[in-house]
Amino acid sequence: MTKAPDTDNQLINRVKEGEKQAFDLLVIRYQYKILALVSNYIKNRNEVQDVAQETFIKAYRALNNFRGDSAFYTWLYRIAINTAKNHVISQQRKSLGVDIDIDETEHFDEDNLYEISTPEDILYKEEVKETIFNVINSLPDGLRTAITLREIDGLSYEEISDVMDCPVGTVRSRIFRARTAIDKALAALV
Amino acid sequence: MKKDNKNEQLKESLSAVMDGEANEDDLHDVLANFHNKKIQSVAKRYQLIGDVLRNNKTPPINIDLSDRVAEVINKQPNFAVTKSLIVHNNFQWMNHISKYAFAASFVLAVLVGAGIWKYNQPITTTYENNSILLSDAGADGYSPKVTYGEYEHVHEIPTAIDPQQQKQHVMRAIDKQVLKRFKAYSFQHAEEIDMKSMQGMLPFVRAVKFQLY
Repeated sequence: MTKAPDTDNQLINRVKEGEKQAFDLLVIRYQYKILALVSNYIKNRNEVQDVAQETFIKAYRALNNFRGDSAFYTWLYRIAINTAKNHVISQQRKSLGVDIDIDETEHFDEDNLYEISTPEDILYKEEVKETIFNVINSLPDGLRTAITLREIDGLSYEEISDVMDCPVGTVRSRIFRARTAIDKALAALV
Repeated sequence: MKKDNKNEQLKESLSAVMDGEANEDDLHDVLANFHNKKIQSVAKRYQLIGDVLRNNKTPPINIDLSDRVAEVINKQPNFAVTKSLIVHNNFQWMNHISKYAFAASFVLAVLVGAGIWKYNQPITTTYENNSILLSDAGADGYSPKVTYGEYEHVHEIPTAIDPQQQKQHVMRAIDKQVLKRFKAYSFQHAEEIDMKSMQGMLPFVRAVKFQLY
């Protein structure tokens, strides 16, 4: 799975220089991952959003502590886990009036995830999914292969250029064209 | 036509940014235009396409945190401005350490000083007097005297032996009781000097005099 430490670090440097919009991009890049992660611990939809939001705000405030030794997402992941655990502990203290052992929060099983989606959410998600796949199936072969290798297999542009035997610039262009086609169909839904 | 081309280039740069494959120019172009809500929406849809295709456990896709987070962050002080303060805070631990180091140095200096004083003081006194370790006179001749008790055993210091032997002899002679007496005497002496010269009360005296005259 290809990660994107360079772009993340570039964005982080921009944030540190005072360009707040760079952080908006980081939020957009990782918000679904963080929401999904937090929903492993918390079942209330509103609380999931609050904790995910808190995670990003904590990350923003602590960004000077991020040295880039690990990927940004790894760092963000730890903040999200700790924030979610603290939230669970504080909620349990409130409801039970007892102290909770922090180790108890480690017992969450990732296979036993909370479903925070309503039936409407699930329907909506299915509709979006179907639209995306319909467009992909209608794409020319080159575009379909490029977007599939990128999004599903997670290959980098360079790896895709090796697989497809074409320049990196062509890969970039094909992925963009595939996205544009999907985006046109999706814009009506989202 | 030109505008469309520029827009397409911008979206291509955005596509590269979302893939983490952007160069500095891409990033510059995207961030320069990211205040545009349309570009933000495109970015969200590009990310959504990937998240849906990867089919991980995705949250409800109509949840969008970016506006909420941006709203809070925009109320925060600018990062570049707060940076210097944060850097300053990063070095506050040095202040704490230096305080402890100073306190430790002071304690060490007192201990070493006391050790040196303990080693030197009786020898000098004994060599000078060659008979008794301490005078039993008060500082001003009438203040209450410290009780010295018996100290006959330090009177007899042989004078004929060499200095090294004398020193050893004197060191043996200085027992805890004598040292205790000496401390008591020194303390009383210091008190008497302070009372007599008003050194201990100097700040108050000066303040009163200044106000009165």
